[in-house]
Amino acid sequence: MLSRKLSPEQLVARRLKIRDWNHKIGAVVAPHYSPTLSIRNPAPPSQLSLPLLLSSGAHLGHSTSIWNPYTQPFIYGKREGIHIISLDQTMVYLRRAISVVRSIAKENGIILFIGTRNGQKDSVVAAAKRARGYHIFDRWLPGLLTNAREVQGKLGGSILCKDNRGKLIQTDKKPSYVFPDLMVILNPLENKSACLEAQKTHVPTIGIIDTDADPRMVTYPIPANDDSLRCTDLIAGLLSRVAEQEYQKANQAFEKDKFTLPL
Amino acid sequence: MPKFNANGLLRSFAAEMKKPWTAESLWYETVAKHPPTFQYARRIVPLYDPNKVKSRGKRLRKSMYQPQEIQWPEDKLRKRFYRDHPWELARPQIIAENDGNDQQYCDWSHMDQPRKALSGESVVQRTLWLIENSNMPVENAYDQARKEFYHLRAEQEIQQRVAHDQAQALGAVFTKSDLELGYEMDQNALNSWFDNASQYAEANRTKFTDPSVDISKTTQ
Repeated sequence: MLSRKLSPEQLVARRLKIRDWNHKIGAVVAPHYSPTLSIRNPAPPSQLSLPLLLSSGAHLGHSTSIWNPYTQPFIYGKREGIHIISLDQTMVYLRRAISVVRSIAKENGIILFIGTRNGQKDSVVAAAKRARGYHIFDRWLPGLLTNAREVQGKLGGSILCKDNRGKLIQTDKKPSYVFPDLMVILNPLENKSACLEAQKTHVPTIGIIDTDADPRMVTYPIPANDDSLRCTDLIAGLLSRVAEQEYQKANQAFEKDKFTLPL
Repeated sequence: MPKFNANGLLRSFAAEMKKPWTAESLWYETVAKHPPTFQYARRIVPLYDPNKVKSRGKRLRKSMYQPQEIQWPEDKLRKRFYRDHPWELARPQIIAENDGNDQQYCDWSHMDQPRKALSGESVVQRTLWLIENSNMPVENAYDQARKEFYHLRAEQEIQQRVAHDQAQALGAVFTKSDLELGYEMDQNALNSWFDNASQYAEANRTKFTDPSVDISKTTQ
């Protein structure tokens, strides 16, 4: 017996009916941690909490033998041969860093995100795009700030613009030197030259300071675990989300003013 | 002057701003509003271990600033459990937490938790719950938690065996496990090594033998 042919409308109706039958089958997965989700959609500062930092492993410091005594105010104690960072201190310094980023973004400052460890590329690029800044994920070129005329000039590139048909063409103009107004360094120990150049050219820096780093390397230290990708993703996401919120607020003000303009 | 002095940004920039060609930076107002911490003063840590107070003189002064060892009541139970059952450490565990409130979803009035895999930590938490709520001594609470743990482990093994048998009955074909494959690969590697070593020894027989010894007698 041949099956009768169905019209396209009937096929669509059958598919919708089968979907209605089947979409309630199966288990509901409880909310769980996803590494890529914290990069694509990081937590806003209103959701910052001690349990969030605890689950990210922000309290795990380094071995007690490679301790930098300047981080003693940040340490809660030691356990299993490592130092445990006090998350109360982390919360205080992280909120201060968030305030600094908010003020810089309000002034339309340039924020540079630096993270040169394996696995930090995605979060650094996403954070820089969200904050409308710049990012460095492979290597800090020595002299990028102190010798900007030579080093940034040799990086090449030219300014693109659109012609009458909307196609991108290259121009003869070269971009001018970019001096960031704020640098966020996710691993200051491996980017000491970046910290020194920022210090010499008077650029404020925010860095994640573990128990083996010197908190004087950066202007605003955040005592946290710099070896945990989840923790660095969380902090980079938080700071970039703050900047994004400030830009959206400015855009909303502009959009509001646009409707009140006379025709 | 230390090498790293990034927290002295305002002070160093104040000297720079006195020059007539220097303009005020965009970040100046922000950093002035949120001044960075200039001096990281050491703080006196609380002493968890009262025995260290017995130190005198310089040791006491030094121990005031040293981070102290963190200890919890679970430590003894955990150490005891894993000393009694060392093979529980060989089981794979997921140590990533969903959010920091994972312990709030657990109700330790019973051993089995829907959002947590069964492990030695379950025995520890169950023991603590029994000590607090049922007023049991430590030995009895630990024994009861341990027996519940054994029961649940036996249930798990029976479930796995039944599932395996059902799958086979319904037509599943189970190939070699990872361990058996590993053994086979090891044996193949050893066999190939033996063949190469034999050929090498045969080819270099004269190099490895003493010329003063008569070889013809040994072959007979």
